[in-house]
This record gives sequence, structure tokens and C-alpha cells, in this order.
Amino acid sequence: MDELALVKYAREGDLDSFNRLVLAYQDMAFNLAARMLSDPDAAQDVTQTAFLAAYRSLDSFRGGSFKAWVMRMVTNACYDELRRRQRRPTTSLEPLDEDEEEIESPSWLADDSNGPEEELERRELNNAIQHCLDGLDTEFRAVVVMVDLQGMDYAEVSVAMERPLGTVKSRLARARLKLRDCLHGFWELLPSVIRLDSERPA
Amino acid sequence: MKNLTLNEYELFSAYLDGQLTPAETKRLEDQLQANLEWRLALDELSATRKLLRSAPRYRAPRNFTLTPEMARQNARRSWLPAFVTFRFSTAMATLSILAVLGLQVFAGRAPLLGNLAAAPASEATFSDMTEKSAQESAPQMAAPEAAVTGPAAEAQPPAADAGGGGVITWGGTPNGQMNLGGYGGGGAPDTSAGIVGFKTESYGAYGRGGGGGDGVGEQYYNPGGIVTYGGQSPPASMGGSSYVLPQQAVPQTEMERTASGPAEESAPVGNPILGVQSGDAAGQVIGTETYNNLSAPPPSFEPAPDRSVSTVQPGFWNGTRIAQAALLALGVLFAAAAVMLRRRG
Repeated sequence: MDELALVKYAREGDLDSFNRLVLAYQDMAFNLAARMLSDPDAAQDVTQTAFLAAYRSLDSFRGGSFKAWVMRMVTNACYDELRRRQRRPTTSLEPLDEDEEEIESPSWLADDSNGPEEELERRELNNAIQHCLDGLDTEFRAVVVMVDLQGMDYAEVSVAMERPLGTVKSRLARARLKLRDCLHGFWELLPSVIRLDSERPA
Repeated sequence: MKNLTLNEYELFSAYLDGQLTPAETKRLEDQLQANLEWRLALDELSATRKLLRSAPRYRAPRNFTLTPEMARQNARRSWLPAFVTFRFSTAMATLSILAVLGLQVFAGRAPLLGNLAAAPASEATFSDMTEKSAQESAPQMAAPEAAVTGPAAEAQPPAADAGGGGVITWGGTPNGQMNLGGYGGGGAPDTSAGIVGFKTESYGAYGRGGGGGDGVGEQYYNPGGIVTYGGQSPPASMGGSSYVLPQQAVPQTEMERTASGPAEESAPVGNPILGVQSGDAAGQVIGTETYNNLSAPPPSFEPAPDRSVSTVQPGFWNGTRIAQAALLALGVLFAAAAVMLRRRG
């Protein structure tokens, strides 16, 4: 069924229509929340909150990309959660060593799992990326997650972030630059599957 | 890479995403062929982009579909976010109201203070009539401020001359009795907010000066005093609560001016309220007209040129009004912002 038709039925109170939209976008919503918050449990709460907010705010959907509109709900919910964390900081996301002191990067990426080497490399790569994402400002992180980790186009991100297209382009470029610099610190740890050595400057 | 600017990196980033126009793409590719540093920078950025896009995408660990209970609960609680959203604007509106009320209280004092300008003129008027008053040869009263009572109950109410802020009441059957009293609220004469009462059952004259006055003027600007005009015949003496205040230094002629006249003059023509033409002149006209009734047909009262209260009252758009309007506009602005934020979800 057409997406806009589902939205129309959902506005009229058809919960099943809305839930079909939820099923279509919940992976993307959870991925965005998890990358933004770096916490799967908090990401679940935020995702649920975002869909509840979307259901409540269906009247404010003016057409266009429903995906971008839902991602706006998720992004706003992530901002709220991050602001709440700033007001009431809890435990660090960084792992603790035996003395309960934070382990500095990149050694915290060490994973003692006994999986295959490739899986370990992927895990390390993912940890490195998440670590570098966590170091970005909130809006820079949101832009690069939506474009590079979710595959959204600039126009959708512009809607989702309520920012002009030029701002999205600029912030994406800056975010990529920062990530490039950050990932240079993990270069030796990056898995061979990425095959970056040939592109790396001497 | 240090020679590259952020604008050039933005160009590279958009190029990698295919966001450049064909003309921009052609121009950039030409420059890339001619510039090794640009090619290296682009390769680095491309590798970073490739790395990010290779990151795994998390799948939702569970379904986030809404149950009917959640939807109903969501509908029931839909007022709560609105309440939270409007909380700020509500607080601002409350503060604005308090500020407006506060300013209104201060503004209420402005006319009272403004009436002070009429005080010297009142004194001048009474001074002009002092000789006439003395010829009436009324008994001197012990209370120099206001207390005048006697068979000739027609006395001018000095406190009534205090002007703005006073409360004037009258009632009962006028029978020629008058009690005058002044309960001073204290302070300087220019703080007068007297209460002037016309009664029929009151006895005695009360003159309790506010004290702290600075001289002659207090006789006319009985600060905070209560002046009662009674109708019944009083005792020969003044009320027991008459007080002689430091203002006794007032000249004798002014003391005499507070004397009473024949009682029969008091009720019909002596009702000082009849001479009041407007609220602004209430405190000033009463004394003069009553006083004139003591001896002769009431002459036309010529107010002093500078005693017009209206000339000292501020215009509508004074500073206080502007502040109130600004606060009101601020409240409306915050409310509109709250509504917009609410609609944006």
C-alpha cells in the first residue's frame, strides 16, 4: 500500500496502518538512535518514544518523505536524551579496567572474544567508528550517520534535521574530515578487509 | 593537505556523493588531474567515507509497533506535552502580570504625588481668606490641624485640602453638628491620604496629626488624616482625643480659620461636597467653599492658576504604560513561540 495512504489511514485512527509504517522504518530508526547514543538500551527507549511521538504528531506531517519525517522524530528524541544525559550524567560509556578507571582509546577496543579473526576485525572497526562518532558534535554526528551509515540523501537529511541543504553539505564535509583525523589513530587496527592501505597517503 | 580549505573539502565531499552539477564536476576533475595534493586529499576522504559506509547497520532488537493500549495512553496523555510546552509561556505570563500589577501600584501613587503641586496654591487661597476668617471670631480650637467643632459647626475641613488619595464619605441627617478630626498617618504633609467623613452621630473632634510634618503646610494637608463631619450637636469642648501637635506654630490667623460658624449655616449650604466639581478638585474645593460660607454668600471660587491637578497628571503613555505594553507584547511573543514549538512537534 502507498505510504501516504497509510499515513492517511493512521491519521484517521487506524493503528494497523501506522504499525505498518513502524515496521518499515524501525530498523533505520533504531540504527540512528544506537549510533547517536552509543547505547542499545537507551536506543530502544528512544526509538519507542519517537514512534509514540510520531503517532501523536501525525497531523503535523505535511507530506513529502515520511522516512525523513520519522527520522526527524528519532533525531529530536535523541537530542532530548543527550540533553538529559548532560543534565544528569550517569556512568561513562567507556569501559573500565580493574581499578575502575577509564581505559584510554584505542586499547579499549580490545576484545577478548574468541570469534573468527574477521569477526574480530569487524568488531574493532565498528568500535573505532563508534568511538570517533561519539567525539563529534551532536548535529555533525547526526548528519554523517544519516548520510554515510544510513544511506539517506541530502534532501532527506535536510528535512530530518530541519536545516538548509547547504548546511547539511557543510556539516557532512566537516564531520568526514573529523572522522578521517580520528580514524587515523586507529589505522593500524583497521582490518585488512577495508583495503585502505592503497588509498592511504604515504 | 594543509593548503586545502574547508570549501574545497566540501567540494570533495559533495563530489563523492554525486551532488555536484555536471559543470562543477568537470571543473573539479580538471583540477584534480593537475593537482596531486587534491587527489591525495580526495582519496583520503573517499577512504573515510567508504569505511563509514562499511559499518554494520543495527537491526531493531524487537518490534516497536504500538499496541492499542499505548495508543490510548498516548491520546490520554497528549495534553501533558502541551502542558510542558506551555509551562514556560505560562510562567512568563505570570511574571508579566505580576510586573504589570506592581507597576500599576506604583502608577497609582503618581496622581497622589502629582497633587502635591496643588498644595502651595491651596495655602495661598487660605492665606487670602485668613482675614475674613478672623473676623468671624470663632473660638479657637485646641486641635490646630483639623479639629473644629462647636455650636457653629461650619468649619472648613483642612484635611480635605490634602487633595488626592483621600476618601470622602458623608451621610446621615445634617443637623448642624460637625466633628472634625484628623488621624494622621504620619510623615510629611505631602503624603496625605486622608479620609474625610461626614457623619451625623459623631461627637468630638479628632485631630491626630501624623507628626513629622514640617510646618504650616500640615494644617492644610493633614497627612493621612480622617476628617468627620457630624450633624449632631457636640459637646462644647472638642473630643477628648484632640491633640495639640507641634504644628501649633501655625500662625494664629490660620488657627482661627478653623473656627466654626453658626450651626444653621452648616447643613444646607455648608455641605462641602456640593462644591466639588470633579474628583480631581475634591480635596481642594471643599475647604474653600465651606470657609466662604462662614461669613458671606459663597463667592465664586477662583482656583489658583497653578492648582489644576490635571496639569500634573501624567499622560496615558507615560513610562509605566509603555513598560506595561512592552511586558504584554513580551507575553504574547512567548505564547506565540510556545505555540509554534508545539506545532513543530
